[in-house]
Amino acid sequence: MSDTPMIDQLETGPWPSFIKDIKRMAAKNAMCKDLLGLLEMSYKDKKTHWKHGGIVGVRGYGGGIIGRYSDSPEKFPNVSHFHTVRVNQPSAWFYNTGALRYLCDLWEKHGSGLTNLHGSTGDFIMLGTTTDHLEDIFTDLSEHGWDLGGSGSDVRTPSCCNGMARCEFACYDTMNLCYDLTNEYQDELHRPAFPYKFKFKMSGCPNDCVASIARSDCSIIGTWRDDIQQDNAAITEYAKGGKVDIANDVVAKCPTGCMSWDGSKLSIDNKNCNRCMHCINVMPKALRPGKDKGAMILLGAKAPIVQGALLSSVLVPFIKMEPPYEEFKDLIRRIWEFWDEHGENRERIGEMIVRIGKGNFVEEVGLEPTPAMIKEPRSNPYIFYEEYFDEE
Amino acid sequence: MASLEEIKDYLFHKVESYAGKKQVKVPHLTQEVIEHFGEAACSKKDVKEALKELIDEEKLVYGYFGGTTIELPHVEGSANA
Amino acid sequence: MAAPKRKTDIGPPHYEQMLHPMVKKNYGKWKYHEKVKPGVLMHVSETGDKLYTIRAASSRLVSIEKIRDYCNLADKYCDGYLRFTSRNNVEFMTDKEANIQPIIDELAKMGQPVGGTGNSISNIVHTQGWVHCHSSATDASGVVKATMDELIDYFTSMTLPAHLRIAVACCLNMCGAVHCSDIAILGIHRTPPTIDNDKLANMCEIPSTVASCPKAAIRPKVVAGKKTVEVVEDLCMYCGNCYTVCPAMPIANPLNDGISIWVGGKVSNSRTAPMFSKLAIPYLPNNPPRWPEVTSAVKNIVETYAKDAKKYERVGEWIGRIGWQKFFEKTGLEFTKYHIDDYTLASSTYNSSTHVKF
Repeated sequence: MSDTPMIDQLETGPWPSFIKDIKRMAAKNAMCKDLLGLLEMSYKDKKTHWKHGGIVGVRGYGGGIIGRYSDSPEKFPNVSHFHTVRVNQPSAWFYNTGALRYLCDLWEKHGSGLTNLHGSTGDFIMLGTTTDHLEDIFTDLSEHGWDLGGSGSDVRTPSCCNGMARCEFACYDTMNLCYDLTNEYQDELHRPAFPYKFKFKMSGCPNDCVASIARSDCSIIGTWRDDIQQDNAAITEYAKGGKVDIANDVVAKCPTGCMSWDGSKLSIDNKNCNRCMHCINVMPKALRPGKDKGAMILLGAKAPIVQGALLSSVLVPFIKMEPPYEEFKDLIRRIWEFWDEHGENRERIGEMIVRIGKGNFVEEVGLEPTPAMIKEPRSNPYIFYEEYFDEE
Repeated sequence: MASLEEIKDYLFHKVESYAGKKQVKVPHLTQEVIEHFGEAACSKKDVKEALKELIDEEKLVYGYFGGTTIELPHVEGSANA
Repeated sequence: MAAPKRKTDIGPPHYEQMLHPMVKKNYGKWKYHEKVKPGVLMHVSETGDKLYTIRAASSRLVSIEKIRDYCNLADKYCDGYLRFTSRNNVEFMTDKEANIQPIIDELAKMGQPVGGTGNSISNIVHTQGWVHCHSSATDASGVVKATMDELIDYFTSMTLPAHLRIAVACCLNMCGAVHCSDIAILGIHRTPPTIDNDKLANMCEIPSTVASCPKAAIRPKVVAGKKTVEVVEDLCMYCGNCYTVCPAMPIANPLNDGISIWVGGKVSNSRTAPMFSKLAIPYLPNNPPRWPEVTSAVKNIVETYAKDAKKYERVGEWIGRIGWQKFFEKTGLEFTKYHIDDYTLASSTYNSSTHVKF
């Protein structure tokens, strides 16, 4: 009879089994053996057996380590302490096998041998070690050119889509910007000093493969200002083979009605296109983003706690995104200064903007209000006029 | 101008005074230190530098409890010590 | 005494050393791509170069042994390079078309199905759950494994009307930010934390515990001569932050914790703007190890959508066209008072029109 009859049932079936993987590791690592026991207990009791460790870390850094203790140290002593190490991943999660093998060897020596590829924010997650290993792990990592990621009230590890490395839609170099910002903001990443966390995510086009508009305080999404690049021969090819029903699958699905198809020619009224990407997604060989490329900056997405979930909303409709990205960094500096001054404890930037009003925020960070920032103007008459006339 | 040592001393004693009473965050601490010395004598950057040294010397540590805190080193309640 | 110096603030390794030579050569020069078959992409460069990508399922929780298997495969066929996707899939890239089938075959031997491209259900992004999180209301990895075992045919094919993205978060802190998914599986606590009055003062600082509550629902109290706290139950929104600060206030409640299901969110801007997921099922029981109530509820929504949606319609766009009345009718899901919003700006979700279907 197995000690873990419930979780054993997750070893079968076509989807890769994390239980099989933990068992494989348990053959040579006592932590994994106890983790299986603790997890089986959770499956039986229908509750977690973990506690949060708040002051675990490496010297000098406030981010990168998440403390975990189990509530059953006597039953499962090997996972009594089971901390997480967040290692800052390379841009867009590309690896060479030498780099991955190094991380594996390090983690075999110092931890459970279990990882998350990758954590929700993007880091290479090493799952489960004890406090006495942390300094050694960090020293070894830094000697080999790696660093820890963020946690707490800091710049969280930025992440990005694969951009120009393997996508024709990329409107700016997401991987370069991600690397550049991560290095520019090392101090802000490792030494938490903000009212709360701040996440950057970078997507190369409005398809937003890293969900930046839902998951980051600052979403940087690629876009273009000129006309969609159109290859009429390729359009004909799509139409001829019956591969794409251009009238129904492309034109009828265009949200702005800016396209027409007369059976042989596709016309796009580019001035009315809202860059939704649908037609480009359907016919990537025939249509491509324009040549005047850059990015849109949106601010404020977050999960529900405390004031409810938010999506990011437009702050800068278009900005050129080329190294050294000075105009962008200057904007970020102004935004942080304002947040630092006015943000309340544990208030994300999106919540602060709602609290003080987006119009006020826009003015405070030195931007001009534009209709691109809103879905619609206010419908209530409660305007706080800042200027009015006095009788002379 | 307040010296780095003066700022460090005051910062440390502030955190000490909060120990067991309040989990104090960096923006709050920074504000208090600047108010104490006055803006002319102590900038945000000075407080940042002082805090970095205190942390590097392990006289203070970072904590994370749904937001980052500054604490005296101690064994926490959840540690299976 | 000053501590010894060691290297800090160096950031991650530069991405250039992580790129396959073919990727490096064609960086920024890609012209178009085709989906060769489920799980296989072909990117064509302006230089005429072709790069093939094989995308395989991976559990987010992987051991170093499995990572070494991936490395062996990448060394054999991909010149020693590989990557992971934003949905935790693993990708093998090669410039040789002849390598595609051997890579797929070896992945099959390793137990990693190939798919997740185009109009499929890709890997489920998820959180830690009972494997490693202190505030989880359910497991995450187990729910994902059970759900994807049921939906595997949608991963290995591209037959749905559009992409379908599923996410799991094990409590409403949502480390997985599931709030914009076609289908979101969300662990929920439904009761305030329990308080261990005997141990609280020993384990926790009372002022910090009081301050930890974002709704100011925790107050100091004395019980049988011992200092402790109480929770104003009407204010509690079950975030578990008090348990984060104070281990004597566990939020987990095996009798009441469970799972809720949300539908119709998206992040892409394609056709329609990004949208939040909305409540479909307020509560399903935690039933490990395979959560049959959850997997059958998800499967029902997927199948109803697959049958009824028009080509290119995401779940939210489909519901937008047919309306919520029809969504509940077609899926057979029960509509309750919990579906009617009562939080800030709830009135914007009321139907202020005569647009009703009979």
